[in-house]
Amino acid sequence: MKLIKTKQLVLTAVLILLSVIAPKVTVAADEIIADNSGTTSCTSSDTPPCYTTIQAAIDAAVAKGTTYSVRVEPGTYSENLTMKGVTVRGRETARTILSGGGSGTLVTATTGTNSGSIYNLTFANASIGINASNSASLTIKNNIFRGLTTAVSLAASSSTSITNNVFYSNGTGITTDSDNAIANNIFMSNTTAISTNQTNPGGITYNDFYLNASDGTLGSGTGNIFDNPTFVDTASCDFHLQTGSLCINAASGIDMGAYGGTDTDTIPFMVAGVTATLDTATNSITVSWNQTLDHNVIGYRVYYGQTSGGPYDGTGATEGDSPITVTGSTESSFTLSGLTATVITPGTPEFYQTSPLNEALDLSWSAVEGATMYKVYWSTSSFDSSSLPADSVEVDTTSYRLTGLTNGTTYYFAVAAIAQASYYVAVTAIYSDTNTTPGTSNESDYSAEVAASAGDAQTGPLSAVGHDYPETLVAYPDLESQGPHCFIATAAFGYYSAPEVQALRAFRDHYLLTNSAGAAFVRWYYEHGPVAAAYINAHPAYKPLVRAALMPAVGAALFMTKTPFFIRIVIVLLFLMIALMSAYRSFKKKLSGSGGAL
Amino acid sequence: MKKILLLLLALAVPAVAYAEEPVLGLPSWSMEFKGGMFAPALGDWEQYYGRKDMPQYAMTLAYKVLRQIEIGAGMGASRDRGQASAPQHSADTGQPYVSGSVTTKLYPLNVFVLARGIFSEDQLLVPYIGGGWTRMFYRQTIDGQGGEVRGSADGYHFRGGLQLCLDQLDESAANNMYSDYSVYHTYFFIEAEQTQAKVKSSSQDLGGTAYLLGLLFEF
Repeated sequence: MKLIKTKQLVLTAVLILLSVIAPKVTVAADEIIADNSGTTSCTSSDTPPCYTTIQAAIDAAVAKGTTYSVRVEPGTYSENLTMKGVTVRGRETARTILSGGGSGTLVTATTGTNSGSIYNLTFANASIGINASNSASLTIKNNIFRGLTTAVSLAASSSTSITNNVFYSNGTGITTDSDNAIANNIFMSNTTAISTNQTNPGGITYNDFYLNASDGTLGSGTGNIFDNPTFVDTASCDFHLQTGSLCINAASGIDMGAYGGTDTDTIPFMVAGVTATLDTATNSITVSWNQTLDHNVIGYRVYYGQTSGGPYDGTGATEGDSPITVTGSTESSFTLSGLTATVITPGTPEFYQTSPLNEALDLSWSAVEGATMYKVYWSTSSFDSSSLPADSVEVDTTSYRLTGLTNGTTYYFAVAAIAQASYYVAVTAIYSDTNTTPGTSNESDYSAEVAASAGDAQTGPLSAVGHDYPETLVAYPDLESQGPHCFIATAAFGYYSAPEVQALRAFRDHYLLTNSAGAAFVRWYYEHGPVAAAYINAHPAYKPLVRAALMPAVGAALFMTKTPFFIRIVIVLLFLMIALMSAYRSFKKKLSGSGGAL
Repeated sequence: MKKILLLLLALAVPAVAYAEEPVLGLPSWSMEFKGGMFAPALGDWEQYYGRKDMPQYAMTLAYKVLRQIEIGAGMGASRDRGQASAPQHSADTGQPYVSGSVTTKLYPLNVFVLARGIFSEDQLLVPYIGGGWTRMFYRQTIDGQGGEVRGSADGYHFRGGLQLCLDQLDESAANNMYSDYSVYHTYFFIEAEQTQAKVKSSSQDLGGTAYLLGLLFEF
């Protein structure tokens, strides 16, 4: 009996011991998602349930039970939240923003039971960030408060704790009437950091105060410092600490500010300034980026692939398959070498119908699979692949307008497809060299994608050579501007927009209507011209004759209106010279003839 | 057909039920805002512009010489975009050849006399017919080829339609229209309009047939 009792005692002791020394298994609370990005599905029937407002997510979490918390995806939420005892946690502190549009209170907690915890959010652009009263018991941790009239306002809420936050450029950082736990925060450029009616508050510890107009009443708390926290970049709201910041490990071994402690978000800022440059001699791509100053970043990860937008599953670089980890926060470039991308020679484009325009031709052709560019050739004489003309242009579309052409002249054209492999590159910053997923944990989201070509370009066969000629188009209906016009020429050439009629009209406007004699001639012509025009219209058989008769006038008009001034002067002088020489010869001949007679 | 005419006549007869309502006086002016489709009379329009008609919007202002007779003026606007003709290519291929882009705009200015079959201020349906002088202003541009062609052509137009008095559908709204804007009656109407406006030099008719609907306010 005694033995049994002893065994029971031992067993009980072992069980108690096991329950004490065994590692606690923390079961992650179920999450409700708040996501207003609109980029992914977000409905209450999703798993986990998703709502487009934070308040709806809070209400859903309350309905489901106390084990549920709210995860807020990055975005700007214009809401005035009422806390109801649940935990609200942003995925990325700097990119998960509660904004009030310049006024109002962003978060209100009015009782102890309707409190909760707020992690990893940015509060901006409102009168009050968080307003807690009537014994509210909030945990405010790892948040950023910027540009608020009052960041946190506490009334009769002594159980509320404010830890590891950044208060930047607010009117008042914290105003309270209790002795709250205010620790590990950074207060910078506020009018008043902490406003309290406590004469000697004891809970203000391990905070950094810098460039505030007034730090307020800090009491006898320990560990407070007054140094530049050296944020990475306040202008872009990057409140990570730079290497060498005195706030690093300053709060009993953890960093001060929004990115310190166990509840901080561990997703670095995206890498900026990414470029990719191809070295054609070595077939290598040098990827460069702006080095991040965040002291937590231990390196970068370079992703590459041949599909724009991913997946970045490239292979074949001498340095390894995608992604490649580049260790060292000060690194800012990496070279992918040995990229021997093979490209299939593209097929032959086929011309669609060309469109003649005034002094131009619109060309369009079929897209060729794999083609990255098209080379268009044109000439006034026919050609083939062995006698390509000098006039050519490379375009990345399947159409091109040849301009500056001469109406009525036939142009020959052809197109060939060009294919070249491209690599698409993105870079991430990483907090640790473990396998992580960009944008979710320990690794930033992908940077903006950049592209670089690789390998030799392959040009496909030349298309069939097409030909066409530009011409002056005629609108339907063929309307004319009112006022005097060339009646006879219009009748002879058939339509008002005919180039010959346009030439005569331009001559009239530039050389006749600008002087009184010319204007008088125009008036006379418009009085009598319609009679002749009516006769020509009534007798179409005469039109070729009239056209022929008008051609010298048309030629002279074209010469005067289309030829550059300098050329005109040269030609006129040439004619004058010939005329003078001819007259001189004729005069000399006459003289010598008379002399002979004498 | 006879039944329809009888029905229209019955609707045009003044409603006795409203005889005891206060007399507001008679409106002197009317203003129309209307829109619809305009089908040019030019036979090849569809070939160059892809469809037979184009949207037209217009407004008119008229003075009531008598309760049944109005004189007024109105301005409309139509715009269509299509393709031009390439005459040399047409000659070479022996068939119409279109290319490039053309924008043609028509702005009819109408001065008109209108007769309305109204015999009571409570009449639900009011038929009307009218006509007058038209000056059709035009603007035309071929993309990448010279400036805009501008001009006008004179002609005439006829129009007729049916107005539906909206006042009795919502009497409080009608009262508000009167108290706030001095609008006596508001009508919804449908009408057909036939216009002829020939360009003198080419005899091309820029007119056509329009089917329009809109709102008319009497004040």
